[in-house]
Amino acid sequence: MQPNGDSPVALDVTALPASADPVQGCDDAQLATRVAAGDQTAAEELVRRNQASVRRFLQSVCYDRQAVDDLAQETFLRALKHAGRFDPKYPMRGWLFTIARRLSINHGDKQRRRKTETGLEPNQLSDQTQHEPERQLETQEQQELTRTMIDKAMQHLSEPQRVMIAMHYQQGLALDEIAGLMDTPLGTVKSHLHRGRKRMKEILEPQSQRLMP
Amino acid sequence: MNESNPHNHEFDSELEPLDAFEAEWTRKLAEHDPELTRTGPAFTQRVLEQHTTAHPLGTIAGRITQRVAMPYAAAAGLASAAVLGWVVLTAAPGNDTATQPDSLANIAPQPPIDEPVSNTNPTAYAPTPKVKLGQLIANAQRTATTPATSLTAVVRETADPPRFRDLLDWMDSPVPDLKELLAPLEPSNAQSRA
Repeated sequence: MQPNGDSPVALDVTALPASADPVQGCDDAQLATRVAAGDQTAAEELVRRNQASVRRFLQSVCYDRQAVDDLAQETFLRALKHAGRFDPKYPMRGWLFTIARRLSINHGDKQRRRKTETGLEPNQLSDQTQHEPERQLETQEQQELTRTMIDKAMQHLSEPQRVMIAMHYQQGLALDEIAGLMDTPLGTVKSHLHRGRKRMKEILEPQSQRLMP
Repeated sequence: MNESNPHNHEFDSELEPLDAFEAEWTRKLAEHDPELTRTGPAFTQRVLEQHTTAHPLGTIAGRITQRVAMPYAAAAGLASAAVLGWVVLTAAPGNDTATQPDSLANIAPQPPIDEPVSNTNPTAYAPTPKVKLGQLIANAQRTATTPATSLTAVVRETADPPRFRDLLDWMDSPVPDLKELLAPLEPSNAQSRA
């Protein structure tokens, strides 16, 4: 069925108004401004630049690992919708992490304490690797296993400790940036990091041979 | 850290530097996951599709989609709604398409236009629309070359204008109204028209 009896209208993408400047050279503030103005190319660049970081952040922070990509998708949808609210005082990634963190909390992480996804106690974290002691794991497999073990250990931290360790040690944000993004005193950020590191050491050190062969 | 008050979360001094073990596990925590790179383009595409769908007025592609694609989507939705409504209305006991010749005209005999709507016995008619839907659409598609043609052919062959408007009204109305539309289609009337 055609609305006016003619052939379907072909979409001539070359006729679309193209951005004057390429987006690859834009900084975070410029990108956010263009996204807010409806620039689809800028939106794509924003997602492309930050998707791996946001997804990796959520892998470490989110209790429900099955929901990581859904939460990441929702993070970007909200960021693209509210790009005009981005404050260039902080890096774009940090802003995205705060959105992701709120979504993760809303998803239900706040209710989970001191449990891993599999219900294993901390000293049982490496049991999964003990089933095949003779098999030599490939390097990539070993890396993935190590990442998973560390992410599972992170689940034993409090939510603020988990988030701040991921923001600082995983994503490289500075302490004052984290304090500003999370609207938390700098001393509190340091306190959470100190306690989080201490707890991670208690959990991981007994497994150090499995963790770091 | 302020040890005199363990509940004080303020950390007075600088963080201690990472020892060797901490340096190792934090390094591994920050390691790049190649799986994220591999699935990155598909993830990006999904986000952009959702963003364009949700905010058509905010994007150039969305504005074009709204002007060009929406009329087609509306027409397809209208045809689908019409067929669904027609199928439910004509799915009456005795109207068994398996025993009738494969012909659009015979798939769904139409009640007379001037038949009065009666609510005197609303519980006498008990349709099984789910069963009839599959049979009727399969029959319609057998006589058509493409699914789109079969939908329009079904609508054109079987729905008269007043009944078509009733179908559209019914699609917009709450579910309980279905009983009112189905009530007048008594089994005996459907069989006599077959």
